[in-house]
Amino acid sequence: MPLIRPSSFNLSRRLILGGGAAALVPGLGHAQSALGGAAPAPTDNGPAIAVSGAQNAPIPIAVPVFTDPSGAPSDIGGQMTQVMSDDLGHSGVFRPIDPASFVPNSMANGVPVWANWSILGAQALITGDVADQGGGQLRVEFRLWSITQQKQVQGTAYTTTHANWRRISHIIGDVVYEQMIGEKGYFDSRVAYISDAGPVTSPVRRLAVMDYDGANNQFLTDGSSMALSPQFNPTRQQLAFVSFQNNSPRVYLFDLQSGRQQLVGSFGDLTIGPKFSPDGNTLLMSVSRGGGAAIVQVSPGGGGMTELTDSNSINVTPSFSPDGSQIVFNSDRDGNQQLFIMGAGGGSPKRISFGDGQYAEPAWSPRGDLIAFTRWGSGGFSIGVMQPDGSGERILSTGFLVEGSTFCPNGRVIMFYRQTPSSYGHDSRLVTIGIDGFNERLTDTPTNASDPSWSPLLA
Amino acid sequence: MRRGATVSGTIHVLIVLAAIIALPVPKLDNAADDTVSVDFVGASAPQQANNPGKVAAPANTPTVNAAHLAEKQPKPQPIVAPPPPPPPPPPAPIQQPTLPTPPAPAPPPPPPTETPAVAPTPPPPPPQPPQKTTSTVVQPKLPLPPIPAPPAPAQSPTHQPNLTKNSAAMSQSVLATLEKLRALQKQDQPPTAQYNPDQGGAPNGGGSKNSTSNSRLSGADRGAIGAHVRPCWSIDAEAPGVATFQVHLLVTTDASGTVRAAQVAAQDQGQLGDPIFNAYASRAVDAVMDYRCATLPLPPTMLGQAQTFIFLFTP
Repeated sequence: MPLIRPSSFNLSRRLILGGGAAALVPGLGHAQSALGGAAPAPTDNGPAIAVSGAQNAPIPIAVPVFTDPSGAPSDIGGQMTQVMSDDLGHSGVFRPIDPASFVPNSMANGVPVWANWSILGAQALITGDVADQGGGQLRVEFRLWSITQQKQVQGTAYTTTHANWRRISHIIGDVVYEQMIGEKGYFDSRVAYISDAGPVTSPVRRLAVMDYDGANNQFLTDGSSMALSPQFNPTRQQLAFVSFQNNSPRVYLFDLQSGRQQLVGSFGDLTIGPKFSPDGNTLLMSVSRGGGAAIVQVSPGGGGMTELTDSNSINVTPSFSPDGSQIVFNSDRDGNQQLFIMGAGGGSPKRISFGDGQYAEPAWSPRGDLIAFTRWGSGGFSIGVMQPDGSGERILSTGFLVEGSTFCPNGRVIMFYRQTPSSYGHDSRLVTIGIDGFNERLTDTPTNASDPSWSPLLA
Repeated sequence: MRRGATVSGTIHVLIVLAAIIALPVPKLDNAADDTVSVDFVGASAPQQANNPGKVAAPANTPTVNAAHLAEKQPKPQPIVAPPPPPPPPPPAPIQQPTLPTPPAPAPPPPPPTETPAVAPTPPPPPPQPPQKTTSTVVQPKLPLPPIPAPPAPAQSPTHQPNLTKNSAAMSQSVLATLEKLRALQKQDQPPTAQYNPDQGGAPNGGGSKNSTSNSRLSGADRGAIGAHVRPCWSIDAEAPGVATFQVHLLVTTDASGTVRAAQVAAQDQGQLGDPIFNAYASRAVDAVMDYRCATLPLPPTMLGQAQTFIFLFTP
């Protein structure tokens, strides 16, 4: 139940429930190699040569600096190369090779000198150039090469404005990701979050949005009213969020493309966390009823409210499955907070969390195979994932206070916020981590940050 | 003088007035514009944000025009770089490289109007050094009717442009015989052999369409080869379904046992439409062609000629 009392709830909950210092919970299932036991397939000519025991290793990739078409250095080419390299490294499935190790003159007539790249262990190579076409237009050309197989995998040119150079870099990163991994990437995406500034006693909470990597930060509200619980529509660049004015929570929609805002409605003194359905046409939220809280479903226009749970207990933080058929939520109906799954139309919930401690804030992966959660107990707070049936639970990260999980568009990376006490109150940062529990990284924000929500791909 | 000053002053005044009226007044930059304020005044009535354009999202971003680039044709670079390929031979005449004696250039086939060279009453052939001639101008011993020569420019697919190698058929000279043998042994044409796809084994004879050399490997051999490739075999363990994937590769080695080609075997090619399986299979190909692992520890008896093996890559 985060965010009900936004100014102090997180810390107080940590103090009440967390106990002492956070204990590190070893990650489960961080297998570096996935072992398979398939026997060699017999053929007419004898058994096949079996190769197993694969390493779970990132793909070594070389990203030399993009030049201008004549081969001369290009400032913007260098910046684009850095963004691409950061993107690929961020994913954890690529390992950019240190450019200092590149062999000079490793391209001949536009074609890689294969031996010069393979000696570095590179399996893939990205080359390209950037041409200023005048009128504020850039033409960016890139090629993806398979070093091992000695062939060009992809060649694409983009034309755009100078201002979009970061976006083009992300798009190229996504193309490389999809070609090499077989799934769409997530670099061309954004994150909405709550910026937390000002003194602890009177924090200024603003709605903000930025590129997934922290660039192009923009504040969407001025802080005169407290913004909470941003949620991206999974189908378009639209945000739902809660704003407190005169201690009255209202739910709004904000369209990032048009700048239009729309009031969804006011649903009571305690309105928590609007969440979109996969088609973006329905909102789930929790509203107070008597001594409890019920999960309700409304249209974006605010009408057609339907209660999906009773309010005999506290039922909060719902999240749809990607096919829209099920909802996972947090309820204390069994005595303490646990995760439950029910049908999209309501019905009898089934508990799926049975580990030590309590569970909250479930978020269903866009892939459908995992549910992220916050767990706290004697071991402190932790971020973890489990399968929708509750099996395969594994802890990804722990801390003084870690919560607010959101999945990237392809479900490979989770962003959450990590809060640690400091001399001036607390320090709250956004963190990303792979669903395998590796590659944890901080995301730069200009202020303290919490409650991230990852957008769908922009393109 | 006074009149000129008056005219000049009037013109200047008009110019200043025109500039004030016509030129746009630039807006002052306002740092506050960087913050997009979602104004909540009148919450019951939705309103447009004050500065909608500042929330620059796809409106100023997705205008991306992608154009696929023609694939550059990289020249294959084997692990051991071969000499550069010879230039394509000219269509005709085919040059005979390094013949013992430089042959005289073959005369072009005479046009029909020149066939009197083989007229019924030819002069006796003068003694001449051995030289190659086209078969169409072989001088017969007996007078023959004129042979219509084929039109020179249009050569049929069966045209034989090569010089005869039996240039001194009637000679009893040992040197001429040696010359003839040399000419016969010399490969003067590019090889015409092409890849012959598997056609199946002999009827009931045990062969298979995908004939490989796996049967010549012992279990220890297969184990050694698999262990040799394993360090280069990596997967994306978080890919959906990867734990159940397995892919067969047909791997071709050269005489030194180095992998020269690898492709997904026929029984698994149907799965390549799945991009995640495709990526998995591609990483298997990468593993076996990685320069660190490409030289397989084959038994010595299997070196010296190309071999084909079937591999099975499992997670």
